[in-house]
Amino acid sequence: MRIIKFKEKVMLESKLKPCLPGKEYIISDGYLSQITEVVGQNAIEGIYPFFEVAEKKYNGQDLTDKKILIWRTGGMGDLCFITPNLKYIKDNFKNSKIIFGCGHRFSYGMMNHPHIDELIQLPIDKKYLDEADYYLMFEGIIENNKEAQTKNAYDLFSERFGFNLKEEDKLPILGMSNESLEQAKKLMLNSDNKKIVGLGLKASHIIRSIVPKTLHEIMQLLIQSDIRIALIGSKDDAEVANMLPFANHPLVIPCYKHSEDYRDAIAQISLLDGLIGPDSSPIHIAASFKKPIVGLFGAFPSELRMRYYQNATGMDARLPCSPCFLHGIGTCEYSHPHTKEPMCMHIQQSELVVREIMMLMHYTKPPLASKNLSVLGSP
Amino acid sequence: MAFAEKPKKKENKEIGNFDNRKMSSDERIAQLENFMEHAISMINNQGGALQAAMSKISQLSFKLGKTEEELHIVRVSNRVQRDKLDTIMKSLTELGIIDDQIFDIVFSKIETKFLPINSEGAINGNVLMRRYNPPSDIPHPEKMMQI
Repeated sequence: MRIIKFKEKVMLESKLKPCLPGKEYIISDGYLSQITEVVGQNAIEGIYPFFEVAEKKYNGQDLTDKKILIWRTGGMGDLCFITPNLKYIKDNFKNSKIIFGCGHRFSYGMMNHPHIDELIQLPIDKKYLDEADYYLMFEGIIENNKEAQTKNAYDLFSERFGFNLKEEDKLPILGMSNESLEQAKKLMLNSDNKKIVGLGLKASHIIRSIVPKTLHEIMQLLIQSDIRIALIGSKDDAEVANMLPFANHPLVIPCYKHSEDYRDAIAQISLLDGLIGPDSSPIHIAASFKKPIVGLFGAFPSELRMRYYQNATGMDARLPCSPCFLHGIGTCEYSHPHTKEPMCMHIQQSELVVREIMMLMHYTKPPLASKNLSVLGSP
Repeated sequence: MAFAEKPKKKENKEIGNFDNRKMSSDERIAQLENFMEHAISMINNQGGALQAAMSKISQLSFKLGKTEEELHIVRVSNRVQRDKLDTIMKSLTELGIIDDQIFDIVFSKIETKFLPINSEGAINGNVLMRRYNPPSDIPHPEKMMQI
């Protein structure tokens, strides 16, 4: 973590509020290099070390009538791992106030969250730290932590909070945009009453993504079973969808084309009967609705992510090199010579995956698999 | 692509010819390491025996993978063996047989068979299927083949 000051008003991203001269901002080391590239050295007045403030660092203290600043630089999955702790705070500490900071792209996924009082974006304006009674950040909690190779992500995050959550509470909690939900209903629901299975198109790195060949086989089997398929992702995932021969089949709903941000993805996933996906945010979002899930894993064991999910199955590749715990920085040594897809994602078995999601959907009792889920969060 | 001759049956009998239930954890790991050495030797000596070697690795994993404890041993051992897998891949490179087909031939055609590991999971080929908090009345994966 660093503190950065700018000489002039700078726009780091078009949709972000500008950073103002003279003010101090907290940034991660990774983000620092991006900022330097975007604004150039001349716009930066100084970069200083971030010194932890021991008396403000949170580790389970009483938050009654207190304000806590929490931030995380990771992706949507990481934010999901934090969310049950936000509920714990609100349930246990009266009049506590939560200021939550995350990257711009992922902030949409945290909008309407029932337990966040104020949502802010990275880089964090240091005034929020100065005004807070406590703060908590999670730098290196997964990416540079050996313990993350043996301990479930929900346990890692709750231990950082100093909380001892019940197993049944270790589930993500997300808010819902009513506008996105209405759009998703128009897109996805019709009168045929067929089951809808979501298919996660892509993870943030190829090392965790389902290979197109397997996606195609899964789609083929689902279509043969007269099940509708929702292709879950963002508009950026069109390149994957374009590789799928059944992408334009009448039973396929191209949700990714209608997903402007995470609010849409959350709404779309809430309407599914089940989800098949790689080690990526859609399975965590689906877990917040207790949807039947089949997760395809290679680099990381599914147990470290899905252990507490309901009606969930992890398909773990078992090769001599797995689990390798590679985060996607660089490429797997045993990847396909041309496509760079790792071996572990090549050996996943489509038939087994489809059979399992159908079993989970069949045996999951309503209302969990119903489309009439209650909406979380504020209207 | 032409692979060389298949491994001799005598060698197959030697590989994995043990009763893992009577072994301690250390013995199982030692057995796996011995096996890997043997697999590498087979590849170095016979070139085209990779498929058989990997299939045997898979079979050995099955034998070790009947309980949670044993699975853990398999996983730990597998991590230890990364450098040895690297040796295998280097041997393949030297033999000039690393190409697109390596995936289809070696890693996707290994024996497919359900083996229960506990009430929540099963091994199918090279995939460990683990259920987390499943519906209470869902059939065990072992029985799924008949459904």
